[in-house]
Amino acid sequence: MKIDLRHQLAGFQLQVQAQLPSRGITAIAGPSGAGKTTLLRLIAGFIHGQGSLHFGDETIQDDKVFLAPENRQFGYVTQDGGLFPHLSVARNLSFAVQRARAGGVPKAEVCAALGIEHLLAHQPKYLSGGERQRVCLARSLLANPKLLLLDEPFAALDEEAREQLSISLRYLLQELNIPALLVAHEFATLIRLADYGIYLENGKLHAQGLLNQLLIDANLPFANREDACVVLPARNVEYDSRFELVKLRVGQHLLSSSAKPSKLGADVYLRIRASDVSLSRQPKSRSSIQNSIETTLLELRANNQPPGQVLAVLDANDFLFLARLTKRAVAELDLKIGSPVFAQIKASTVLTH
Amino acid sequence: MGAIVRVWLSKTMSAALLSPILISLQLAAVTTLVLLLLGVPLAFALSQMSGIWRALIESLVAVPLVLPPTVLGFYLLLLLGANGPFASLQLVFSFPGLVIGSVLFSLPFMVRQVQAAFEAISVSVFEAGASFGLGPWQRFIVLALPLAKNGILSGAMLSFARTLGEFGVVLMVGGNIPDKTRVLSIAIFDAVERADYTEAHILSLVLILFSFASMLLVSTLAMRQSKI
Amino acid sequence: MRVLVIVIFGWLASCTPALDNSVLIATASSFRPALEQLTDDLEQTCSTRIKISSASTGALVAQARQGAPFDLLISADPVLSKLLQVAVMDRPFARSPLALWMLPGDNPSGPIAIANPRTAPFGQAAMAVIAEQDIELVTGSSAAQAFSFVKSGSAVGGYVPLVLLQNAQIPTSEYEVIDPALYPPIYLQVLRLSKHPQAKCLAEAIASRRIWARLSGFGYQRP
Repeated sequence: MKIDLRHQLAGFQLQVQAQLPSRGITAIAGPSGAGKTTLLRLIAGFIHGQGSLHFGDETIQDDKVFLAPENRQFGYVTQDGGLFPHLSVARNLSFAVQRARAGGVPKAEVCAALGIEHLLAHQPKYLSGGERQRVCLARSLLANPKLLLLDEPFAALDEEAREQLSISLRYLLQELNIPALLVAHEFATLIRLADYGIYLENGKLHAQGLLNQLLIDANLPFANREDACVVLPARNVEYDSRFELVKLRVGQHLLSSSAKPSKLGADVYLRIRASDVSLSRQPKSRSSIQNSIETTLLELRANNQPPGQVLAVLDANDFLFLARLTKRAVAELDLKIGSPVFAQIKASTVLTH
Repeated sequence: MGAIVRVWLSKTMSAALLSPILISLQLAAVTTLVLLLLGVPLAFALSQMSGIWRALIESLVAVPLVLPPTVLGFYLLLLLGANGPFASLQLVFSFPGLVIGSVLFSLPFMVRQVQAAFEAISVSVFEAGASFGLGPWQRFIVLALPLAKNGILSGAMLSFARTLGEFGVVLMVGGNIPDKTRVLSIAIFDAVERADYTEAHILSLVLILFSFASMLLVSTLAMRQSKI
Repeated sequence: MRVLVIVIFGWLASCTPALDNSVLIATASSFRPALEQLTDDLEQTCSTRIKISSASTGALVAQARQGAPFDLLISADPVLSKLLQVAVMDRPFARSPLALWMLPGDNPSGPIAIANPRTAPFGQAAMAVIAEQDIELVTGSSAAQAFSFVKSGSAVGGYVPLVLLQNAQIPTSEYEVIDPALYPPIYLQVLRLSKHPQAKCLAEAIASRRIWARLSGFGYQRP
């Protein structure tokens, strides 16, 4: 998808030129007021901005052409939902199915994945916030859109609902092969859903790249967070029932995790927090930490870190990740850029989702 | 007792009394129908508009609210009358002329009521509709109308009741032509003028009854709307 | 229930007032009671139905000028009638006297009712009689309305047409007929405003001697 859009907002101009993947989930991140929602609405067609927009081979917008929102076949889900209040849940869904793009989305599967089968006869006004959002997502997915646009869809939900819905959503988007563009304000949503991302500030594009590139990027706030982390694709290869440990293959490496076991052979995502990685000059020795992998130290950052702490960027060949340690540790271990170092990753904190 | 009722009935059922009642009901019905056809789309358009155009049109529509009915009637008389540009259509002192006057007079009531109902619909409903491929006209029919149903009915009932009681505009534009433009309100005035208080009483009672029934309906609808 | 309402609504909306061939007579309000009593006779004489509209002469003339579909206009003011530019102006067929009616009671205080001098000849007549006197007045839109003000008690007395007093059988002790020399005479004329076939017949009938016999019984004088 090629974006070259401009629009005047109160105070500043939004100007974004980017080439985004037309598959998978792309996040639009940035501080409040950066123009994320505006960009999403420009892409949806609710704001008539200047410039051009192409999706695959199609020209959605340029100097001569402007497709109205109803002709773009883009789904659109907001915090507010937009459920039709005068129709039952079932009729809201069948509304979308009737107008769906050719391709056929298995209705039963979507409803099951989002857990709304028992709500079909209900009226929207009696649903809780979480239930409403689930129905909205189901409805938009059932229309089989070319692209699903999401504007902070989980903002009004509690943490548990957010987590569940993120998992279901990601699963469904992959299953149905529907690309998505997601405005994400919360870090948790970002790391749960995004494959790719762009970072906006004051209406301008500051960075774009794969999720981990953004999470590690020194110019972006993500790496400086207390819960800074990376997200790695992994496969469940073994389950040790004696110790209740799941073994995950991440690239060449094998990591253990005490998270809930999923299907054997399933593809999952592994989150490794910087604060749960410690470094050592030696390979795994007798310690409570289960995982130890060999890495090369790429970077040490002292700026914007909690006092006395340093952020290390490590290269494990297949992937990069972060570790946080004290300045004193750096001195004691005599860590230098380029030196090999063993990263110890606590098994209990290698979470999957 | 029976004789009194019989006399009362024969008086009420006399053609002279039925005629203004029927004409008033017909005027109210036709006016309300025209207002539904004209006013509802206008109200929707206004609810989706913004900026100076909306302010202008809203103000224009609201003028009959503050204008004395006689002023409105006067200018209509000049516009539609024998010396005006539409003289050949013979709209004054005729039922169509009354309809025009009543429509203009009750337009703000219909439009404002219905516009408020449309504005109560969350924008996200319309945007969701667009994301499913509904064009502007379809969004109006499929989404806006069902969701504003109660507001539209209220507007219709309000216009109906108002038109029933219309006096100033009707007198100016319609005169007092029996069986043509002699509506209930004018017939009452006429009866009082002739000191025929019996007739005035009967006609007034009928008017009160109809007006009350309409307002009852409006209140019921308002209660139902607020439960949504 | 809903269906019923919609059906009734629709039926009402589709009805249009019936067209018919009656003659529409607009009459000065003071002449209305007399006209109503003559209706049966006139309808028989000319084999047609009559519909009556009444207001002050001035109001009727104004409406006629705006295109009101009157077939005949019975005017109480020749000056106003001239505004209509009707080709044939009939001679007056009657004169309508003015009376002062005071409600009984000891020294009542309150306004005196008159018709609007601008639109009703009876109003002008009343003003001529009152002349420079400082009396509290209440103005009705027509002579008939002035009469109803007194009848209802909103005014303690009024300058009203004699014929209305006789028609309502008000006791003669309550009113006095005003000396005709004190005010411009109020003449009644019939004006033909349309080409309705029966209009000519009715106009002639109203001015006929036979009808005149009945009119004099109502209190009208020779013009």
